Amino acid sequence: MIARFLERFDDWINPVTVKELRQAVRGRFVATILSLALLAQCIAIAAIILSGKVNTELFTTVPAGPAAFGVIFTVVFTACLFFVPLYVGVRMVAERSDTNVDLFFITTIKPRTIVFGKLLAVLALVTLIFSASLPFLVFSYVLRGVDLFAIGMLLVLAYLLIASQAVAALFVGCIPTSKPFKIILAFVLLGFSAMSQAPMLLAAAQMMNSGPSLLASSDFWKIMGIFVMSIGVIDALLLVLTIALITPLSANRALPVRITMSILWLVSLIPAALVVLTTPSARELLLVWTIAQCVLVSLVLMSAIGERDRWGPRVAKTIPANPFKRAFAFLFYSGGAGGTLWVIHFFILTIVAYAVIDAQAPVPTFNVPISATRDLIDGLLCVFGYAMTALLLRRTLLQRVPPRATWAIAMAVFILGAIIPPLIVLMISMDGADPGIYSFATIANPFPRQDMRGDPTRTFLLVAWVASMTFANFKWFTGQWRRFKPEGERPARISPDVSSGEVLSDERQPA
Amino acid sequence: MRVDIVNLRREFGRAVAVDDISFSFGSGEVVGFVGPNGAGKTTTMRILATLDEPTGGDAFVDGVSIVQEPEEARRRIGFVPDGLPTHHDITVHEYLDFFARAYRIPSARRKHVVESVEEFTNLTGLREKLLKALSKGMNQRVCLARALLHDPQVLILDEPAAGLDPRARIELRELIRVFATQGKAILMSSHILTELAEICTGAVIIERGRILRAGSLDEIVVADQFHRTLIIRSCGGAEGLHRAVLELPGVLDVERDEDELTIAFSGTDEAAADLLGELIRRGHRVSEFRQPRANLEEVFMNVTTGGVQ
Repeated sequence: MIARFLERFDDWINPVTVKELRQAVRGRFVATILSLALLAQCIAIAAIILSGKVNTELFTTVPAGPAAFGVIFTVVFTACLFFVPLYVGVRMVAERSDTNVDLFFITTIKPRTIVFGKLLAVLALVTLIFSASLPFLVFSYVLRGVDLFAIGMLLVLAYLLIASQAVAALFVGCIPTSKPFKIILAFVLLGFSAMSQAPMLLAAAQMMNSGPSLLASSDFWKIMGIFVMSIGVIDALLLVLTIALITPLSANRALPVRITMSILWLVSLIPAALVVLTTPSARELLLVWTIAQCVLVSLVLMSAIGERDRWGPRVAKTIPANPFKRAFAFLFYSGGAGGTLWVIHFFILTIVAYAVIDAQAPVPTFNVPISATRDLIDGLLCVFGYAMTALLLRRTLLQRVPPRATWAIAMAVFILGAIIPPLIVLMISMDGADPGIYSFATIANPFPRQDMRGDPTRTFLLVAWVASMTFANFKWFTGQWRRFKPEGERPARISPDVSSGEVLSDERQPA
Repeated sequence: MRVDIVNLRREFGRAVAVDDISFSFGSGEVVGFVGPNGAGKTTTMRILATLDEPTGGDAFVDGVSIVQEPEEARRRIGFVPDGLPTHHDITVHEYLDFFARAYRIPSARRKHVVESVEEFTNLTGLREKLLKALSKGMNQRVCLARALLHDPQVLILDEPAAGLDPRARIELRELIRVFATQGKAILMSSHILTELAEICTGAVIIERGRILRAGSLDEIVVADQFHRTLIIRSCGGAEGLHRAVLELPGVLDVERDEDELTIAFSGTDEAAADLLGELIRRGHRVSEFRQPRANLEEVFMNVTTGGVQ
């Protein structure tokens, strides 16, 4: 019975998890980190006990339990927060070469199985490190002064934070870019780890001081809810993006990403709207939500303008025949024009949601900029204008540039259109630029001077720019829409049989 | 079991890597896939292994389309890419066990399957060694073992002999022969044409994404001979023989090297036999008369230009 259960469990378990854990156990990195963390905890406990014996005053001012727990928790949390994501990221980069990714796809294994397998292995690894520290944590409880609730809560929070960083590391490891750029991204990630370490340790100290009374505090549960939800939303998005990144290029990679983003847009809008409509002091939250969505959707736009403009047979066979469904699928399937249209829809939806909820919200107790909607519209027009200009340049003057680099052209155009003109104006008139000329130079800047905000002339010019660029790219949109059709019947041809003795001598000899 | 490649095409932007190629092969056959670098061999093999998608056309593995049902096709294919495994901190046995799990071989059979494949590929003694500690030849055997785990009926081998020492090459050749006798259909690319000619039953020569020649090895070689070469050796001195041969019909050119004559001959097999009969009738003491076949290397050099897309 047990043998059969184990056999079934063995069949069910993710093969990537098994491989990753075997590699982790065999490798030196994990063993070294674990040994060092345990050694540090031994030394810390010994130091606390010895100092307690020497100086009893220490126990009266700072109880031994919280002191021991604080040190042990800091060691375990820091080791896991920095080294586990680093380990995961480095492994992912090492396996991200085309050859190795190919090896995974030789089998019938799916990209999501690979990513979730790796994530599961990370969670098991963190559990292993936490378990190894358990005797020390129990010892700190025995020393008194720290309650089980605080220990449990902190371990859960730490676990969530480390898992979140590991997901981010997996994502960075999958980004198809050069190793130096990945190293830069790794440092950014380590920076985030460092930034999240201090608040976590402060929370640990506060929880140990407050004890079980925290349970009764509604503020505590609000903060916990926001923390867990934020981590959940970010991790869900990063996981979907990671899976999309390791999915073969020929697959419909954008579909799960756009579906997830659409769901997250709605899921995050509902609580944000509820909070803003019921709490006057929380009106700023809506602006934060709107800006976050605009930034996210702008990033999608930069990716969309570099996407494919044709669909391979595997994707084509899944295109719906029904015109209504086909139009809907066009927005969500991988493809430059469809992706751009999806972005336009979400730009409009976000602005409309902001304007409607903002109008319904209770009167604020502080000043919210009146022209926030106009500012947002102008900003989005700028982003869209740069994207469409870059697309036009790539299609006409820069045809040698691969489509996936269109975002780089957009960045270059942004620097030329938004940063260089005001700098030139400033350099020409060193003794103080004419405000009118300076304002004109910042027209195409998404973050213009205060006096340019809400200026109807600026909005008009931006609309004219976006409209002309969109018109210039109109053929690109219509061409992709025309090609977005279900696959027809394939032509069959009798092929020469190598074994039959039939010799093919191709008449089309190379020139 | 048959593999049919039908009008396969792959474009990368404006470059056409594979240009409407079609050929097929079946069980027990070893087909050499030959072409200069950049000819489209690896692209074609990756498409067959379902790792890449064709821009047009299709390929069928036992009737299963690699475009419509890639996962089903993958179950029937064992692919050995030209890259070697680079996984750290993993032994040969663990590596093969991982792939056996990835192929969803049930736990009850997995141990037996992995051990059988290890034994077959002569890896039993290396099973506890780390992949990183293996030589290139041993790693190549691990790659072959990995491709055999799910007992595929089609094997696609991309440059399996590249960088191997002579012993490893001979071992690989023997393994491929065994696969063929087991009824597997094998497509194999290599730049070592003499070796391919020894084990292949057929060949496909490709350049700039287009097939230049495809067929059984014998037929390709014969079809590509513009004239026959005859070699004649005489016991009684070659001077008289040389003069006599030049007078005979069908002889295009004669080169003399001491007692041996190399003749460019435009006639058929029967005409060559008549030529020999005529020489003997005239009293020449012929000690050797043979007709060497053109080899794959010569055919390759004749039909390819060395160009890439």
